[in-house]
Amino acid sequence: MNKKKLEQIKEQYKPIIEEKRAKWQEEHDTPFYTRQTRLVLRNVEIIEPTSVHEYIATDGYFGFAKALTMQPQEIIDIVKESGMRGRGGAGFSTGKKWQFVHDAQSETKYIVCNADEGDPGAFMDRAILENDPYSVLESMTIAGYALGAQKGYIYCRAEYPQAVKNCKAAIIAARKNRLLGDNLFGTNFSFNIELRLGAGAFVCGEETALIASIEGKRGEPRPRPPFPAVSGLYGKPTLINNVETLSAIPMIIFEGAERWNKIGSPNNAGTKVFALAGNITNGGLIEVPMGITIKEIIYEIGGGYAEGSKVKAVQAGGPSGGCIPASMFDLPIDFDSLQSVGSILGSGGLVVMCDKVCMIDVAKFFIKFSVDESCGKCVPCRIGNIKLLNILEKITSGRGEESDLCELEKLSKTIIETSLCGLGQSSPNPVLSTLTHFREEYLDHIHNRRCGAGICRELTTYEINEKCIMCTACIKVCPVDAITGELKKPHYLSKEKCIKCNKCVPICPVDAIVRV
Amino acid sequence: MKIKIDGKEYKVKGEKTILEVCADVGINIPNLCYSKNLGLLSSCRVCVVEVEGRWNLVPACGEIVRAGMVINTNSPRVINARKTILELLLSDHELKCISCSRTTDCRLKLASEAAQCDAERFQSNPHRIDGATHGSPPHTAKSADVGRLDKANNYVRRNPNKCILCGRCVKVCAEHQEVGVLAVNGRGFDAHIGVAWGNELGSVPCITCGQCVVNCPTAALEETSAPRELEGQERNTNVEEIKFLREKLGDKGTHVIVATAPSTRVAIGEAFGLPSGTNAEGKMVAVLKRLGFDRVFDLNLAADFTIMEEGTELLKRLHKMTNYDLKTRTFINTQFTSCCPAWINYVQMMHPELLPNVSTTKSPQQIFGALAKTYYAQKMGIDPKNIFVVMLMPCIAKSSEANREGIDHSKEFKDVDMSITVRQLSRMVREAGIDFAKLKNEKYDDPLGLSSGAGLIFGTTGGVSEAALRTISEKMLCKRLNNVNFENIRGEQGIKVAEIDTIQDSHGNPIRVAVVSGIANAERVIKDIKSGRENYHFVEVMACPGGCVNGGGMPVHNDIIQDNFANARRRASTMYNMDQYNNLRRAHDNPVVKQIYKEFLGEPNGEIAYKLLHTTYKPRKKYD
Ligand SMILES: Cc1cc2nc3c(=O)[nH]c(=O)nc-3n(C[C@H](O)[C@H](O)[C@H](O)COP(=O)(O)O)c2cc1C
Ligand code: SF4
Ligand code: SF4
Ligand code: SF4
Repeated sequence: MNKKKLEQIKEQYKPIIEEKRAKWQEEHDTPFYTRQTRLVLRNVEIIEPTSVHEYIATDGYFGFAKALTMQPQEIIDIVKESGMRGRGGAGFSTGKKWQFVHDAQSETKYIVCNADEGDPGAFMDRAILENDPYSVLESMTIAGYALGAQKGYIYCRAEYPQAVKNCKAAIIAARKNRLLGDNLFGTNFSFNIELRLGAGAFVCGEETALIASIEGKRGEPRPRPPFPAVSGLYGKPTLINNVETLSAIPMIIFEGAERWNKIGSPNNAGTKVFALAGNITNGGLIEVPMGITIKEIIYEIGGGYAEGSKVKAVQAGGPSGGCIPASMFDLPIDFDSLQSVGSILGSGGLVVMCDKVCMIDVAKFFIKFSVDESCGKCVPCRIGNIKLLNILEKITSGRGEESDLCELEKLSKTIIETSLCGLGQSSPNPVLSTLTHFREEYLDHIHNRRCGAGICRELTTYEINEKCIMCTACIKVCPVDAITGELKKPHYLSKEKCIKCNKCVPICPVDAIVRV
Repeated sequence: MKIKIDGKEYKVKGEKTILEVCADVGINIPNLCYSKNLGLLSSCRVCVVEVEGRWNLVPACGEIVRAGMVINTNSPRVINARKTILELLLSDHELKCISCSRTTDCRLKLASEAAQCDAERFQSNPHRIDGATHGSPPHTAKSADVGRLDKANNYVRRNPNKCILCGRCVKVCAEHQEVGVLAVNGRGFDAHIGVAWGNELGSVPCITCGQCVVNCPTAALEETSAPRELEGQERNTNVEEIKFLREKLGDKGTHVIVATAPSTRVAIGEAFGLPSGTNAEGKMVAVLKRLGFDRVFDLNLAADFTIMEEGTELLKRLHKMTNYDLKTRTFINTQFTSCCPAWINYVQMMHPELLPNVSTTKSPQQIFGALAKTYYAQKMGIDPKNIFVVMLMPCIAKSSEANREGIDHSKEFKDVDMSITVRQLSRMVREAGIDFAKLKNEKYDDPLGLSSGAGLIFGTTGGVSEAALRTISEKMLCKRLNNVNFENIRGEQGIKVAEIDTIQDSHGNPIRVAVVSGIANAERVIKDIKSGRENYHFVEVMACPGGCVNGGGMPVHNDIIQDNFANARRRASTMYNMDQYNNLRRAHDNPVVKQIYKEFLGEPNGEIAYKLLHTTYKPRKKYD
């Protein structure tokens, strides 16, 4: 492969791509799409994922061709200038990270793409790997050239079979087309990429655990420093970047830093892909400029709340994130703003929650996730999280006391301050943010033994209201005969007998059974 | 460079951690998982401190101090965090300190007491065996899994309910010993120390060296002696075994004798507050007599016999070449030592091809047992069935040796009835209320009480070789050496190699000796021999790094920075000193040895000696 061949291929395939793109735009002419800024997702659903020619037709590998004409430091400078911050969660400056690896002295270095995406509800990396795998391959090759690495690994979670398949196919095709291998473009730069499958542990997304896992050890984080940039895979300097981070790099190199940094808000350049879900009319993957407000996302892209509900909060950042109350929906979404309200951008989950959702139940869900997904190495995370869960369960079962809130706060603080890795350091965020923004809900559970959303089983009772049409549907499904009555005669529900199994509620044709 | 700790400025030189610097200036930061010998684990988080400019608390064990660092070790934030972490550990801990074998030297207990923890602050959670989640396979839980006692291994017992998951045992087993039968299994709150495939420790190739036990900060790993009379009973706790021994001592019809292994005398004082490496031989003899042992003998004497037998054996082999024959996959003529029972366990399970090259000479423990029940019994006119032979050992594997198939000279009774560790003895002493430090020195009993310095240094890596070389050299040269110190095989390095000019093989080449401690190092030497890179006439192997002075049955220290190697070094240096000042430094000079050969055994490697002082080895299955 060489520059000339690239141009030939581009020439040949450009019409096809243009046609496909036009067709896609025609089919997706709704605000959900038109309000987005699709840079990272630019090729998604447009090009044939494993076709290297179609990728080249979208300027693919022109970034790499350009990089080969530049000095490594120049490349790193462009990445720095672009203002790119890592999309894997922590938001660390990508240019700086590249510089560290570049500056580390070693014959052998590695480039690792983190595709372990384990947050519940997140699937942006998956979309990129499934639809545009070459963008990641090209990016890793550029990094290899700029930082002096000869080998790359993509660490992909095994639960993404399509992504794995497409990545594999792309690597094979890239090798065939001499876009990977020895002496690329006739230079003396050689680079190869290997795909490694993760065993599906959330913590293996943490960079030092990921390294251990690639090395064949138990996926457990280790203390840093030394950082992977100094001593990573097999003890060699290693660059670890997220899929989304990497996917934007070829474009930045080819078109210049402004392509990225003129979008977004101060200190938060570019776009971010979110997985919009929950109580919203239009959900799915969206790519928007950093700094857009929650309101804009919900109303202009998401089309507002699903019918008949009142929105209460947005949960951002998954198990390490927090809940933002409706009163703060003017907040711009970027790394710094979210952190200021006790949430995080994380990998980009956004779940809209209505008033049928109990915030303590939400906190419980995420803590449960951390209890199971912590690697178990360090004490505060392994044991602390389950104790948080105990206290939350105590509250949702109606045994809570006000002092429990104080204990939640104290224990959360210790877990955050003393855990070894990012998982433990952020796992109490869902508890703390709900405690801050929804304290009255906690107090309601504690003082009034009441769950406003009717979610906490021990605190709710079932009643039949005046809407009842006396059809006996509920009587037939109740496993303990707690409902009595006959056709066309009033139905009664015995609170003593009721085991709160909730079988009757969905059966009732007129929603006459309510939880209070 | 200058740093500030708790408001006071200090000058620091070199690369040191916060933990080390603080310990130097007298601030003891509690920690549970850190050991200088194991590398950074950083799992317990108890040692966190405040460092100005850092948003979180920093573990002192792993953080290197930098110029200008401002550290706070006792602010409310630090103390509260430390306390909370300990309370989290205590909430799921089987907190039975009063009856616990580690009650005096448990790191968790000591740190929790100092922090004035409230053990009931957090509700406790049962460990969930079926808690597997998110696509991980369900735990293949056999009986040894979460929360269940692992009694399958007779000599090392695991109690997961006292485990704090520090990871030390896993690391020492995998890295120092390369045995690797312990692992962290499960994830999240269900994470636990387990054995491969959820097995029990008894069904995997555990060599019972006990390194996991001496490195465990709590009583989650314990030794058991497993005397045969208790077999099949619900035994195994240290309390019950000590009770068993106490009743033997109280039984008028049983003649109970004890022999003390070389390294025990330089370590036992530590269990009673004496500095590590103190020579407490006289006090140790005294305390054993106070406890009611009918006779107290010195195992060093048996070590002298081992030298006579093993040395003679080596002399026979020296007539031929040594190497590894690739065709027949056998070792030609290299002689491996046999006195370390964990090493023998290892060879039996992992390298049966090496068994023909292991010296057939019994270890000092078994030589003593055999002599006690024959020569001594005859001399005293006691029926050997009524003699109960106890060994005081730095070792856990010695119990397994005493029970090894085919080790006893007679089918009717065991040669060694029970082997106890220094820790177990110190528990008996405490139970009896004896003030060890106040005891007056006493002497070993006759007739098995006189021994040489050569027998003594068996207790440290290189000692067996040095003792053997003293005897063989003089036999070969037919003259006395002026200097019997073989300095080049002393020291704590894992592998020491020496060419000995005073002894030649049949080709006239000086013999090559390798002295190895730590199974990981043994494995390296075996590989070297097999690949043809090296050949040796004589290889000494001790399973524990540093030799018996760092044995699995030694007292546990609660130094703020745990460093078992340093204690071992001090113990070894005391032994070399004692040897230096002993008039008797050669096994073959020992008049008692000479007399017993003359009166009873005949020649070294002779007929009677073979029957009593030698054994044979069978391969053993790795997995059950
Ligand atoms: C518990 C935990 C899980 C993580 N999971 C992921 C993940 O699934 N994907 C990812 O890219 N980064 C993940 N990270 C962040 C990585 O450690 C690392 O910071 C990131 O891959 C760096 O890439 P970036 O600089 O491009 O963001 C995780 C971090 C933690 C603490
Ligand atoms: S914080 Fe949690 S996930 Fe991270 S090392 Fe500690 S136990 Fe493991
Ligand atoms: S291991 Fe320590 S804390 Fe646990 S019961 Fe024993 S002495 Fe007490
Ligand atoms: S058994 Fe002991 S050494 Fe092993 S992890 Fe548990 S507490 Fe640590």
